[in-house]
Amino acid sequence: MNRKMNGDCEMSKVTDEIHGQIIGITDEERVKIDAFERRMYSHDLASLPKMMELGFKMMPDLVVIPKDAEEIAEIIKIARKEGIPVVPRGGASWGLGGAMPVDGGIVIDLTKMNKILNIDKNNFNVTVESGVTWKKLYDSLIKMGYMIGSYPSSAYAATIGGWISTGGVGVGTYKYGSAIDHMESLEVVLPTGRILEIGESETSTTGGQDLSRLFFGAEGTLGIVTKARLKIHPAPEEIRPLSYGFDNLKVLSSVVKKMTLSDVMPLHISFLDRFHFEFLRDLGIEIPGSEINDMLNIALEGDSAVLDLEEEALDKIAMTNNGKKQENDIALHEWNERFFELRTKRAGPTATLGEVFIPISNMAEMVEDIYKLIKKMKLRAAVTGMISDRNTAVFMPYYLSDERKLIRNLVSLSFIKKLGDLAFTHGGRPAGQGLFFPGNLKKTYGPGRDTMMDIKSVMDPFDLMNPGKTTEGLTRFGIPIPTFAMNSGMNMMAWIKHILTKDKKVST
Amino acid sequence: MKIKIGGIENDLYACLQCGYCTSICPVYNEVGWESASPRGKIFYIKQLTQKSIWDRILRRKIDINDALIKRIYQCTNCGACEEVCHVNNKPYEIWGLVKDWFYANNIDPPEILKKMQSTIETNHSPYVSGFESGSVADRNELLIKKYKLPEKGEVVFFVGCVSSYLLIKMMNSALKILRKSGINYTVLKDEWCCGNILGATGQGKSPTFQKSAQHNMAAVKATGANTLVTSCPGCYRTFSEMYPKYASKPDFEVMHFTELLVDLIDNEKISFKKSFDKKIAYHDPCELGRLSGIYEPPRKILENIPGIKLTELIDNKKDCNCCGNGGGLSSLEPDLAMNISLKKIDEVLETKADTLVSSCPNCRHGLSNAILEKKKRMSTNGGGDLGLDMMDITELVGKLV
Ligand SMILES: Cc1cc2nc3c(=O)[nH]c(=O)nc-3n(C[C@H](O)[C@H](O)[C@H](O)COP(=O)(O)OP(=O)(O)OC[C@H]3O[C@@H](n4cnc5c(N)ncnc54)[C@H](O)[C@@H]3O)c2cc1C
Ligand code: SF4
Ligand code: SF4
Repeated sequence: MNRKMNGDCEMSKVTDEIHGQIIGITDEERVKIDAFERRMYSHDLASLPKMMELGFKMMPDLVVIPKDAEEIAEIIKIARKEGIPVVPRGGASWGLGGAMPVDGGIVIDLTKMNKILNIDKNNFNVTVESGVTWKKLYDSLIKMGYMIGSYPSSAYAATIGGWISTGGVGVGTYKYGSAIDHMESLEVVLPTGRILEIGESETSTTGGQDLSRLFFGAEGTLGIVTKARLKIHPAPEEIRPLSYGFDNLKVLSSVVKKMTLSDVMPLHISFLDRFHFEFLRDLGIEIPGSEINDMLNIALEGDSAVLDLEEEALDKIAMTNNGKKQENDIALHEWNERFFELRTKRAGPTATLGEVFIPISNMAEMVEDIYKLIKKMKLRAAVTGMISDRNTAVFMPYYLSDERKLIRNLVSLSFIKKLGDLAFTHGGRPAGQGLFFPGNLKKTYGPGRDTMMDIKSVMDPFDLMNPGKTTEGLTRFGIPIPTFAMNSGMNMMAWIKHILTKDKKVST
Repeated sequence: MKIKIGGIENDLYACLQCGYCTSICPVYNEVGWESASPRGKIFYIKQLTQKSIWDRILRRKIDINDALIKRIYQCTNCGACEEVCHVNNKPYEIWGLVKDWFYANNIDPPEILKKMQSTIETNHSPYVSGFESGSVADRNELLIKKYKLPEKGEVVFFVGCVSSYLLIKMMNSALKILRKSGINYTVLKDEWCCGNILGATGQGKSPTFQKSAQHNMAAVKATGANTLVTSCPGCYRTFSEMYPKYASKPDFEVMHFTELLVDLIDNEKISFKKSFDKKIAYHDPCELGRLSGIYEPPRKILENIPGIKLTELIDNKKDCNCCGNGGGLSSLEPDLAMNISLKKIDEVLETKADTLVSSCPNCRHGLSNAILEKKKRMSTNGGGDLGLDMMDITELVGKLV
């Protein structure tokens, strides 16, 4: 093949001819191969050290902005013929290296496929292109008296396709479930270039195998989601935020357990510890209420009369456990801040966030162990999280560091790995695999992992759809990162962090 | 090797790369490429400040190139990014400092902006010629001959270039209102372009900007006024923010015309003789609203006008979408600015208002052109009238007092 040098002195997988073909499918305006633009697409949320480029070719060879599934299908056919990796990219707001290449190739920027195609008021569903953000969808629906049950707290940037593909939980998951619970049908482009419409027909609860489920959490490794038909609900009469302060997260955990056992069904439950508020105060960010300790935030949703009763029930549970009910303005402020969980980052200025799922019954023990780990690793950290259903607590602790202090920062990274280990000990698991944690797949799914690998190899035999992610963990030379190497490396780093001096102003 | 640009490092590192700003940026939403988004620009500038031996080893080409320079100037200064920023960054101010750094390091702004500087230097206006009131001298003469304004006054009305040369109606309306109010006012004998466009494009330290600042502030002093009022939010911010930042702090109060109008209404110095039976949508100019926090005065004025039915745009006040004409974008990339304006017009049409009112000559100019453009495009499709007019709040008030 006639390969050419492309910007950054890298060998490009995209020849002039392929470049021309892709322009032919789309148009000149929507295709870029200059190094400046490609550099912009060489990363996602995570700030990675450039040394990573020794092992990974994070710069794509070409970036294209398609306008529909047909264009994507044609591009994928070319990529398949020429053996070029394809990486779907939504809002790039995920931090596990999902939307960036590890071995160059073509990045498909889906954010311009952002039309809300149809709001079906009779059948209570909405059809959207996958590049629509959750915020835009939410706002458009509310305007018309409808709402989508849940959305990620990154709704400003996260796309429909991105949240479906990462399989996450978010605001409203407690009551309405996750993206998979909204999905009625999907349009996807398979690694063969075939366009499929899969899922349920207009009537929601039909039987039979529903292939759309396969794409939930597939992290772009099985195909590209281009459209989705999602369930919607009537907008509620009221959304009522409530906040309660507690002496510590352990007490808070026991209250949460009681609340999940009650028959109240809040829209959303989340928590923030005192260190989070301390970081905010350090930054001089105004927060209403002076004595905020560990905070439980709840949003109720529905008819006001019902909410009165629900509020009363929750008050009772909280008060009997020394909970301090906060003023309405604090609760409202906390609710409005749901999109801005990492405001404290400036205090780092680097913030690294872990995410693990734990059975509610083990929540209090997990709290204790996370704080122990933070103390042992001498980190400046805060513990935040949410309750995603009656039996699952999601912990999202983060630590602040400074990426300019390379070694210290790198060794702190092992906190994320250790957090995952803790999750496994408490019967839970880390969230998402991406580029960094495919090694967890076996632990999480057991033999299910092998079936996942089988599905991947059947659907994408040449391994071109977002290669190196989810089920694997590949470097640019196609050499897998063995789980034990990743693990032992991380353990070593944790140990080094332990012997380093404390980070300034450590939590605990 | 590393590039050090003062005042931005903390913001670059604080940035989470969450992309909230990207989703809201009017320029990005038109251009579509990550390099045009605030997030993308921050990412790249940070790379510049982190250059090290590793870039050579890995053959990473990170440099100040034409594509980057183009993107840095491609900003309407609308401030929308700041509103949604996770970590309270002001991305447009980061570009501001980068542009200042470019200027200090002899990296030229795009040709058209450079030319503007020399035009302002020689003409004391950003326009070459051929506009409604001719040259600066012609405008000065008009003010002296037609309005016979005194040399001294308590309040100076700073006309601004758009109202002086492109939208002379706005100037006449403002002067009519001032005359009717009976307050002691005047204008500058020789008003020069305030230099907003230079301050916004890294040329605040240029001799031209410095001269404009000194000249205008001295001229205000010569009138003995303690207050300067202007109907242009750009001029307003030049006096209130750019002069202090790049030159010196004015020793008189700076007011926007809408603030003065509220005073005049409250003190019954003006009253509305006629009613205006129309449905109005109000557009918050970025430099007046988000960047100066003036949201209520224009609304208060409109509410006082008999007959008016005031509707709000869905995105209003701090969420109001930019008209596309700030930061020199309408000169730099007229097509891009026009596309942003056209989107704005669509948004206004959704409210079914028949009159769009703003309080900025720049918005007024850009948006009326967009209405014309839209009509033109409709008529080629056999369409017709939009049923939408555009007015500045001074024109509207001027018509009714
Ligand atoms: C402040 C903040 C808060 C967050 N809160 C939450 C939260 O509450 N819940 C949560 O789950 N996550 C959260 N996240 C993480 C992230 O925002 C979400 O995972 C989000 O859904 C990712 O969407 P995206 O469009 O940005 O996807 P990207 O980051 O662009 O992509 C994510 C993965 O999906 C793939 N992908 C993207 N689009 C498609 C598509 N159309 N078809 C196939 N594959 C695709 C990509 O290849 C990649 O592997 C948060 C992030 C931030 C910064
Ligand atoms: S000020 Fe407006 S145009 Fe400029 S970067 Fe921010 S959002 Fe974009
Ligand atoms: S919103 Fe703020 S933190 Fe997020 S990408 Fe933009 S500048 Fe960075």
